[in-house]
Amino acid sequence: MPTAGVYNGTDLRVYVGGNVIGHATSCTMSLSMEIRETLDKDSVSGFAGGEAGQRSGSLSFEGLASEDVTLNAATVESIADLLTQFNSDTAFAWKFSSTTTGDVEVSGNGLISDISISAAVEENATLSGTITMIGAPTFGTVPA
Amino acid sequence: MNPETGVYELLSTNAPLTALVGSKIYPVTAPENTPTPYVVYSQLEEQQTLTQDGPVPNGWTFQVTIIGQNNFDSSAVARVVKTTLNWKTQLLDSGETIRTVFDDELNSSFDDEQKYFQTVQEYKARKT
Repeated sequence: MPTAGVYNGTDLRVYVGGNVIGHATSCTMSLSMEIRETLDKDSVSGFAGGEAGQRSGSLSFEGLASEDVTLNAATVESIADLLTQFNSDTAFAWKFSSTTTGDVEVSGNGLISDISISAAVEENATLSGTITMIGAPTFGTVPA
Repeated sequence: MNPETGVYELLSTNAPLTALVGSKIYPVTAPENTPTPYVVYSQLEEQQTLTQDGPVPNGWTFQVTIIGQNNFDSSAVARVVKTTLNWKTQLLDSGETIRTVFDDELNSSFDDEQKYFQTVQEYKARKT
């Protein structure tokens, strides 16, 4: 049974290779499509028409930088894991979902296209990055 | 040991400070009629950062109040306290280490009722 009401943002996670990004503080999935404009001399009242064009997507994440590989008895992606993924030319499997059966689950392959680590004096070090989707994502639901 | 007792360890084991105040270093409040000078420390805040995996500690704020019979006394002790706690590390029983850093100071206001001078300092502490 899917989540009732509004999602709690804490529950929606980005998974990299099957594991969530450890100590994440926020994540965003963005999908977009370019519209091919079809304005011509026959367009009604000069308004442009449009056709579906190229789709693309990305997932961005922010969190605290940590070497932890286990949190709450679950394996998580550490900063080292993410840097290894960034350094790889091979696309990895990602997933954006909650853990509640029936909730929306978007999955696919991607590459980490940017990653930043910020370290201010006497503050928690933070990281942020972007996964660029490679190929078409799959729109499904969290299985039981 | 918690961070508060870590601060106490730093204060109570510093020879220049104990030379001035002896063992008169108290948590939260001093006993009534304690002779000056003395030091009172207390934890003001504990910060945490919320993550999707749960809260992560983000440091503590401490207040150290130095009480002296006159401005000279409280300022002299305050300078030693600052040397004792500014950018210092302390190993906790948990195996973690905290670092304390000076943050702010309110100089030697006079307490009309108690007839003493005090210097109030604030410090931040966090795990290294």
